Amino acid sequence: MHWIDWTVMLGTLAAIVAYGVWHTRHVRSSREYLQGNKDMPWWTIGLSIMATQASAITFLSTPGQAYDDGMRFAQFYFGLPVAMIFLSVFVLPLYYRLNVYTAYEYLEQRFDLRVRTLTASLFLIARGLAAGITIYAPSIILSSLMGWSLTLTNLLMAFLVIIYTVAGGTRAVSVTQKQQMIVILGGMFLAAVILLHQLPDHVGLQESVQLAGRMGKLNIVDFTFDLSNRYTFWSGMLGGVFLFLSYFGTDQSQVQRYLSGKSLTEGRLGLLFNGIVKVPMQFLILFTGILVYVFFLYHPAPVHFNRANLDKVILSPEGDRLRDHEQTHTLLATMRQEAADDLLMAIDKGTSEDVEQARVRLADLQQADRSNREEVQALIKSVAPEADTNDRDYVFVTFITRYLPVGLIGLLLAVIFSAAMSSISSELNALATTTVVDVYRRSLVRDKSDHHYLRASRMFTIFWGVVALVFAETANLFENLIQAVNIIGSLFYGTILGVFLTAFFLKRAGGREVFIAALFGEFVVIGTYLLDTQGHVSVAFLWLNLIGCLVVMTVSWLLSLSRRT
Amino acid sequence: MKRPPGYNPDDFPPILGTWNRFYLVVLLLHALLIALFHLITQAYS
Repeated sequence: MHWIDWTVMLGTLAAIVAYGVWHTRHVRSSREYLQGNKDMPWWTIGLSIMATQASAITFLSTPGQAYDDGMRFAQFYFGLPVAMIFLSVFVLPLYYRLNVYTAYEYLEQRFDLRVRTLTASLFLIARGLAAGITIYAPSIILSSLMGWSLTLTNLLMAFLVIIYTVAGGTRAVSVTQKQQMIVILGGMFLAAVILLHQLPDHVGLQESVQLAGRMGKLNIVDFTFDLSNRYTFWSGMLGGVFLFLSYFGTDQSQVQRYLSGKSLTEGRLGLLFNGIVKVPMQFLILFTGILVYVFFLYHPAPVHFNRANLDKVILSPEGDRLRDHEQTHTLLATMRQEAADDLLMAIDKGTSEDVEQARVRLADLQQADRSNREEVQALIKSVAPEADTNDRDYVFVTFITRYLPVGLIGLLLAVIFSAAMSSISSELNALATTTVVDVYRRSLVRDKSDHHYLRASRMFTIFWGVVALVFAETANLFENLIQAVNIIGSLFYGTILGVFLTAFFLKRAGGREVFIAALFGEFVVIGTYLLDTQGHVSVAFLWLNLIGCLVVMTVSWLLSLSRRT
Repeated sequence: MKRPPGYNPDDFPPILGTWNRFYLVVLLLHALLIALFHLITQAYS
């Protein structure tokens, strides 16, 4: 990497870390550390909420997902605005009135200590695992780019975040997220502009849309009702609403963001800002992936995007077979480029039969290339059985490192790091807060000085950073990073949401009933997921949120009925 | 009418007068966006 890119990347990251530490150098109490000064305006809250959710995975995986699978992933976020409104009406007023540090504090007031501790523990497991993947995602870029060890890269990433999160707590997280979002949005916009600029002269935005559309990449909305289909309008609107209700309403990494608002109004506006802006933002990130797809119709793409995997084959006795596949790929790429031009020509001047003929030819060549790429993946597996052959997450970063000008490569890498740091810092901050407030101070070490709990909060931030690092070392076992995060969330969030909705709406349910229902709900969710992985049932992971939530609420209701009779 | 938990009569949005109107606008914007996405999908399917 050029020294200018190094300077841009490290300079941007160092400036953000330094700003976070400097801005929060006067934090002296545990309340200030865990809650901030409760003086954040709505735009800071809104950006902070978006920065927490949009991790590096969003910017690595999402364009690759669009490149490979089209834009149907956008439907995953369709339930988000509905969830934001629900939370603004029912949940935020409650949290603000009770002036809680964490969402789980409310559960003790409503039920009992057991339910509070169980729900907080489920959150700690889910978020602790997800934090590991949040660290791993940007680390694979650096390790793949510079041949660094993954462990060392994970350590560096976690160290940068731990510095300012330990120093300034919640406030440091919120103030740095503003800078990080500016870097992220600016960098992605520049990447899209450069992408368009580097397309051939006769291919502009309109032609790119035409090409991608004819190849089935603009499949944004699908109204078919199919439980086994991960991304449909219904899975987004039903399963997605439950996932986002749980994530934004009960996940402390998000709750902590809007509890730092200076009033209920600012908190609500922050959430609704996210509800309005999030779906268009995801659309634009996916659309960047579509532009990358068109870009690689006209520029040589590697036969496999993960260079490290190809190196393993080249150094093995199977190297000659790989070279054969690369020659086939190059030949197909040339033919695809001609077929893409033919399709554009047919759209411009031909009849509908001409368009269909050109489309089928391009689709056939795509299929031939896909088969060739699958054979390369099989080859990699035969040489290195432990290798992850899914190269979707490497598509966008391949474009960044190969085709962006000097300076912008550093900026785009800073984008990915900033996105990762903004999420990790929220997660570590929330994990430490929940550990201290809901477990340590509540049940383990009571009635100590405020200085003691401030110190404990900082120590637990470091502790969770180390735990996340350990899980980051195992993250390469997952097929797709963004799905891994969502699957982990779906395994726990349904149950957590069920507990909260029972608290809000089933007034007769008591602590004992909810505790049993939560244990049973978690058992059903994990059982369903395991049956799905074994092929006995077919349930897309988003539905686990709905299943967990409904089981907890139904069992709580039935148990409360039996108690009364 | 039953009020949501924590209801505060002094809590108003900066525009549109009431929170219910504000929520309605958010929902309408979202519905328009989905309709636009649907049109794009249909145009190229």
